[in-house]
Amino acid sequence: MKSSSAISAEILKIDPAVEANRIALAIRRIVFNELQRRGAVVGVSGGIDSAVVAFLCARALGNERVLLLFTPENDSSSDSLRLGHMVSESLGACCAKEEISPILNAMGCYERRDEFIRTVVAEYGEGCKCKIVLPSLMDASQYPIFSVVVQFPTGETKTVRLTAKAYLGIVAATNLKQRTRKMVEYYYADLLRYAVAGTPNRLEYDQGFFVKNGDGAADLKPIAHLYKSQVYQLAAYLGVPEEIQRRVPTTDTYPLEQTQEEFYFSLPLDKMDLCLYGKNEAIPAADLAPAVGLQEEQVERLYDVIESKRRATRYLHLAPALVEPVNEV
Amino acid sequence: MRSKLEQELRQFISENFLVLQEKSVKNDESFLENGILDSTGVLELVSFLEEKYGIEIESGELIPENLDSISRITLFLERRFHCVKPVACAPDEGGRAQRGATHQIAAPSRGTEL
Repeated sequence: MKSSSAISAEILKIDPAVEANRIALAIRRIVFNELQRRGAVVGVSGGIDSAVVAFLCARALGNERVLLLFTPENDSSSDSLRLGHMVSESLGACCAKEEISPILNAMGCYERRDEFIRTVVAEYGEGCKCKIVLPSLMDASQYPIFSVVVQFPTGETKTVRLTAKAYLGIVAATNLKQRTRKMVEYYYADLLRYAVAGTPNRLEYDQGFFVKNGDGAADLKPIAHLYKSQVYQLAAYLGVPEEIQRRVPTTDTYPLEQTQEEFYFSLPLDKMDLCLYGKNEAIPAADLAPAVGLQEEQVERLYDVIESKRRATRYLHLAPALVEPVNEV
Repeated sequence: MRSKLEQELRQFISENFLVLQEKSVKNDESFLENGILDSTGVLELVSFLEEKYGIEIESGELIPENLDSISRITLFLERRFHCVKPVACAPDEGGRAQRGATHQIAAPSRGTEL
């Protein structure tokens, strides 16, 4: 257990040079020795996590053995592609662009999502935009219940609490995006005999903020042990373009901008980082509270939420269950 | 009336969250503390209560004091049926999500992270 005097944001400071080298060595060993692949495919979103993974893979394997993949669709920000190209130009790495909207259209992704939205906002239609959001965890004892925010072509917005059916339907439809992206990543991995590098940070990995067989699928996950603030430290050390470092992390999944905070974590990521660290290190809530600027009872509640999310998403981490072990493989 | 409500709630919980499990949920057992419901489960519970009993649950009423056990839900429903105001948290300020709340937001600036 840490003493209270040691607790501040400084506690998540790393030596980025040492950590970058350690990760690069691990990537080389995993890709070349364990997986026996010739390089790595990285799905690049224009966000900081995928940029850091791309830089680390290039450092480990050589930029000629890294393929950066861009997979824009109808709801993607134009910034995503622009910043993705910025990563490939910085690294001098090969890139490929696969527009996935036709695949998503063929699967009815957008139609299915919109049908579920119309079950709670009947007037949702042409020209409307949407996102789903959670209330903040910091200001109430309410359950975290999702709402849909609809913006009409007039600019007016409407926020409506979701029914279970609508929530599950919207999530099931939009998860097709992450699964399609992964499918395309593995197309290139098969083509080039490369491995697929996943990009979750520790918050996402621990709290189950990923789609099973979507962005949760990969052959290696080089930064899954790093808190978000540590990813930022690595980004600065590796020379990730500053515009990417400054960007607010969002999901880029819904037509309206949706931050990771309002979609999943319900708390600014720097505070969430410290709360997860505090939970992991068994730091008493009273000792952590001043460091995150929260009340003791708010930190207690966050510790409970962290545990609850771990429990709810545990199955996402599991390999397919077998009736009995197959020991030969 | 009370035992009928408790029976209906227990059946809903058992059929949806304790499928094929030996255990049966006790009246005072906390759903969250015992890992019976996660946040999606709470959403399913709210939808069930609204549809089954023809009520609309306000955002401020979505608190463990009203919904975290069979006993608490039963009391919550009884108050509703007898038009007694149930327990609610402080009213929301500003942009908190509420049923049908309408307000203006700034034009979106987009970002990304897979």
